[in-house]
Amino acid sequence: MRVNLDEEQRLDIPMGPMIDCVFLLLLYFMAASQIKLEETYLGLRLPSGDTESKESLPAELTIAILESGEVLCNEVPVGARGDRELDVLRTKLSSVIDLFGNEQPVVVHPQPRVRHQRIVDVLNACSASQVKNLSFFANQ
Amino acid sequence: MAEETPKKKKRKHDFFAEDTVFEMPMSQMIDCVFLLLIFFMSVSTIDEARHSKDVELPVAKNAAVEQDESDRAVIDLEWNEIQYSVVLKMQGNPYYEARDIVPPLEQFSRLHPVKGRVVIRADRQVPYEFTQEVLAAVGEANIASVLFSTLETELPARVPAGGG
Repeated sequence: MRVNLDEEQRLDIPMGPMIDCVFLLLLYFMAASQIKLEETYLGLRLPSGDTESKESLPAELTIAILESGEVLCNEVPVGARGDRELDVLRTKLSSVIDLFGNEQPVVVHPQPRVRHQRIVDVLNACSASQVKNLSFFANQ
Repeated sequence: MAEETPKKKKRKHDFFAEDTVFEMPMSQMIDCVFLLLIFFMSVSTIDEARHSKDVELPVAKNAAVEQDESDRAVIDLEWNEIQYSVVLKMQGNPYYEARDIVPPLEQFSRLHPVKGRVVIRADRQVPYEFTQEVLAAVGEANIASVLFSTLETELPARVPAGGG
């Protein structure tokens, strides 16, 4: 049914409450939003029954991490306590990978109280040197 | 005494006169507000992964970015320096000891036999003795692929809990 409205009876959209609602929604989304930092990943493969290979592999390279933060590669110091970039280790790993390929086994052997950041520093150096066959030494 | 020359009076607008009507340009403002609203609605995502916010991830510049978030079990390791202890959470559920996560990991391994991976989100201060227990539990559940979560850059300074 068509309703004829006079000029005075014209229907108006109530803008005030609508703006209130929109502002409330805006405030909610502004408060609830947070900038999400993208996480990155350093991978390793754990030994399991399925992945055991019978192929002969070259002798493994052992990277020891001491509680003091010092890093040794086959018992040779390659990183001091505050050295986060571990350039000497990277150079050594790169030369080994160039010689034997990236299937060269590398075993990371941290002492029990070594902090995770220091282990990640070493894994980061391994990643930069294209080490693919990485594993952890299990302390008894 | 010289006569004062009639100065041209600056005409001032009387803001408080009754006939003065100010109108705010509402339509442009509403446009802006709507645009902002749509922006914040679109960038907001519901955090389904239930990752712990109390984990301060280590920094690694050469870690890989991975977009594929499927077939992953996430283990959080929150660190309490005062008590020298770790709070272990898997998919948001807390566990007392590392060996307690073996059954859910085995179940996860059965559900994702080929591509199943474990993401370890360990705080940068967690000592290796705790991470090692988790690695042993993951190995016991026959999952070979492990990823350590890192950040590419250092986080901005944290606001301590309680606003202090």
